[in-house]
Amino acid sequence: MKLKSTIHPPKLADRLFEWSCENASIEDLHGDVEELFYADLKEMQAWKAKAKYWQRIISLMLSYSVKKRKKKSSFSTYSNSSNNYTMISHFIKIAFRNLVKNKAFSVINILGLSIAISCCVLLTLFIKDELSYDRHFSHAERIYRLTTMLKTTNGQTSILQRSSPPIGPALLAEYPEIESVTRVVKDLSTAEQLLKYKDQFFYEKRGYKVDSNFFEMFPYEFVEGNSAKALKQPWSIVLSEELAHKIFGNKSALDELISMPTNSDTGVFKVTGVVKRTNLKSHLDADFYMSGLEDELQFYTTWATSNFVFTYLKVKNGTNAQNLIAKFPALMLRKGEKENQAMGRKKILGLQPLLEAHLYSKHFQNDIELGTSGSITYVYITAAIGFLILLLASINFINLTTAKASQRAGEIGIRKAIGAQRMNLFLQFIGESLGIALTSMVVSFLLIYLALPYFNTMVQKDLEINTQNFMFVGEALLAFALITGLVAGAYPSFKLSSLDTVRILKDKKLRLGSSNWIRKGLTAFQFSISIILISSIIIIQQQLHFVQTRPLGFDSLNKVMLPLRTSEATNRYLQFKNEIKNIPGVAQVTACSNSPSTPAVNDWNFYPAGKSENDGVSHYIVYVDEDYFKLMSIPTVEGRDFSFPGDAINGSTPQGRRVIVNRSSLLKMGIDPAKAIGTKVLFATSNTADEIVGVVEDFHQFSLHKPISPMIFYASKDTGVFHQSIIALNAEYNASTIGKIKLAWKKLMPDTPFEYELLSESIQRQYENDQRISTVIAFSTFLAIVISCLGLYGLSIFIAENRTKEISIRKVLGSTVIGIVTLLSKEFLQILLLSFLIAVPISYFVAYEWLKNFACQITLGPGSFLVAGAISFAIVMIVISYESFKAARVNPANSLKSE
Amino acid sequence: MKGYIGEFEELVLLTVASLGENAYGVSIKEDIEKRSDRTISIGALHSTITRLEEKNFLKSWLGEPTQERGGRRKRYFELTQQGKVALHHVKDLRDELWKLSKTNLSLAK
Repeated sequence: MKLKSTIHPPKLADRLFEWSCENASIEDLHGDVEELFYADLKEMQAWKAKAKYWQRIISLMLSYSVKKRKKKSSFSTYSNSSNNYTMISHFIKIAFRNLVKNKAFSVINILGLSIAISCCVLLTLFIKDELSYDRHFSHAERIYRLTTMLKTTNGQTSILQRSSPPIGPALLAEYPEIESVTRVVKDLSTAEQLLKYKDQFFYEKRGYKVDSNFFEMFPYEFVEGNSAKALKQPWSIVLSEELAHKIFGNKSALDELISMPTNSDTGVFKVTGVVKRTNLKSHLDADFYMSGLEDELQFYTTWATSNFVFTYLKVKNGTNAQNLIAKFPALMLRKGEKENQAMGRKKILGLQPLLEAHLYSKHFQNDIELGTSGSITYVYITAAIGFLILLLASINFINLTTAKASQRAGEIGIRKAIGAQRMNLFLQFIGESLGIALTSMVVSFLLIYLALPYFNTMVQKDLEINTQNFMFVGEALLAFALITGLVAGAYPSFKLSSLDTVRILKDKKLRLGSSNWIRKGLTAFQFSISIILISSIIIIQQQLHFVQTRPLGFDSLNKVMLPLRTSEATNRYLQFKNEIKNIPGVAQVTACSNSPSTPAVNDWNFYPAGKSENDGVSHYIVYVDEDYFKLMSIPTVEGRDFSFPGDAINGSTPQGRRVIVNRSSLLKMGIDPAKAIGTKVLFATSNTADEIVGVVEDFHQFSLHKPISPMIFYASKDTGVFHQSIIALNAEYNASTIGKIKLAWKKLMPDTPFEYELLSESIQRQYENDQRISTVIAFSTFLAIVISCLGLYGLSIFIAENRTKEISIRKVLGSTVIGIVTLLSKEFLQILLLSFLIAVPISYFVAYEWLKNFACQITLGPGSFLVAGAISFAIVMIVISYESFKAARVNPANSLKSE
Repeated sequence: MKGYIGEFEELVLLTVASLGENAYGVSIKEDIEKRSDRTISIGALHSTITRLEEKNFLKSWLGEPTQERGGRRKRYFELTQQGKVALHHVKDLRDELWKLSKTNLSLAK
């Protein structure tokens, strides 16, 4: 037990007592309590004595005696305690009166700040969500994704986030620092997979085949089933909670059977688990995970090709990834080196940290990614936009506060005269701006709630404010409000508190001098940002319009795409074609493996006979049915179209296959177009020579982000290679045409649901991401303009008010209304001109960088900048003319009389 | 009514008088608690003392620092002339009422 003599009264209570009593002399009271405490200690336990001590301190704090002494001390000449309570309540009263007196200014300030703060909070939510991917997995920092860099001898490099099937397990066996390896495979041939339960069909975008230890490395929480055992048996499937609910409703999903009638996976899977729906996100999130990847991949022995496996490694604690990567080249030299050399390329393995998988994967070739991938650029753009908007609102605040301060000259002067120190005034003004910021915070909270659904559609997220992130939202709100209040309030407060007492009292007017320049500079900054944003949005829209209307090299009008997703569909395709050919409205029917705007793989290096493998050029391979080029209106420039069935091949056709290539292919392989017909081409690893029988004009197989690549076409009689059937409709088609096609489909392929998409729509979808950026920028432009206009309007009121006397005298002397409006607008127009000159080079640079993303771009002319300038000019004129006209039309007698 | 004092105030004044030179917060509190067999809070006591000082019934001065109070000084209290007058007022009023009582206030049966 502690010696009683070492026990002291609770310090916190002492401090509380002294703090609450401020400067009042309470020594005797404090002493009394302490004496009683030591007396108590002799009779009772320490905790009881302490409790009593607390009780007495509080009793004293609330007592009349302390209150009286505090009052007394504040009036004492020798006390340095000021009567804070009265002063602060006075400040609050004055601040409130000022807000009410200048309603327009207050509304502009509060509204502008609220918009900016809510915008920033929403963007913060978005950024936080983007950064949260994959972080929740235990030891996420020790997990890496195996990447593959392919370097061809002629200098082309491409990086894949995938690798060959046997590499992962081999690395685990080879290097002791690797703890475990798991692999994931996504079916690249179709965008959606078909699931069948009893007689219902479900299309799901994200379904992966995974190794049986997948859930050991990525411990998803299970609602049903056991994560450790779920994937141990082949033909097991684990569903997401959403999908399980969609298929089975509220029933248990366990042990139900689901079949997958797709091309590659025919079979029946047993549901062994359901993954819980959470807010935690990962790039590996899927609708379902199938087991049995080990069995499927065991026959792949190549270390060079078949780079379609996503391989994840978990290293042991303390392993340096760089050291591990450094060991890979030696291993690659032993494995697969020959094969790679034969293909004229070098293969280099690398590791990408799991935590970078979501945001830093845009540089990988083909954009084939698990799930949707974010982009760090997008995160930066978002943060920049939030910052800019907050900056604009702060500028409004600074401008309006300094402008309006001239009317408070008298107040400042008198405060100073009766002894307000500079610090006092500074705190008063900072306090006022914090008050406005905190009011805006409350308004923003409402705005956020209202705007969240729209924001979600704009950024395609499902952000929400719930009990888990409520505190975060609150903190973010408070942080933004405090920062803005302090930053925006600092300059005006500093300026106003520095004024010379005698001069302001004498003039009753502020001669702010330099602040006029600062105000102009800040306004110019606002205008510049607005012009930059306006011109950006014009350029983005022009580019998107250009992209959407540019001739693509084929005719997408009235073409319908029917995906052939099941083996039933591909098997019966020819029957189906015959059936629908005669439907009125249908002009032609064909099929292909990859129609424009659908994904394709270019793993094939072709070279003309006579050259070496090292000169191989990677080609996209497309298998086509009869009439493909005719139907798509792709012109043949040399040679002929395929003739069926003579040119058609299937898997067993060994030699002498006849191919058609596009113009780019000839160019890249260095074949003279005039001599192209009859040229033999070979592709690496195989010695089959194919003969070119025709050359077609280049067309855009992919979006205009990408340049036109070399392509090679085979006529196929094996319908199993086709992924889409394309139907050309003629002018007479109507809804019943589609209905009849559907009827034929149902008759021939009862187990495959009928779906179709217009080719033109599918092409449009390639630009969804650009559209999204465009929407975000359009929206932020709108906000920026609104905030700038609010500020501009406020300033125009101020200037008009400030020059009332001057205007009246000018009018008396014979000035016209137009003359006065011109006079008042001149200052703003000068600023606008300056801003325009600043904005143009910046927006040119930004637009130039953005356009680099497109292989086909518009030329940047002066047009869009001039239009942006004209729009800003119009906006400025509209905003300021109202107040200017009002000021100019006032009866000079009235305003001169009131002076 | 000038010089009116309440029951607790009277108690405090008389205790201060009875303690003589040693009348300060703790001793007053303990003395009252001992004699009247009731617990009083230190806050209430000091509030009353402050009121009595305001009415000029008590005057006070600070003593020397003592160890058991963490080096803090005691504030000693003493009755003023007005305090004594006020006590007399109360006493006179009481005595008069005792005398005038028509009921026999004697406890003897």
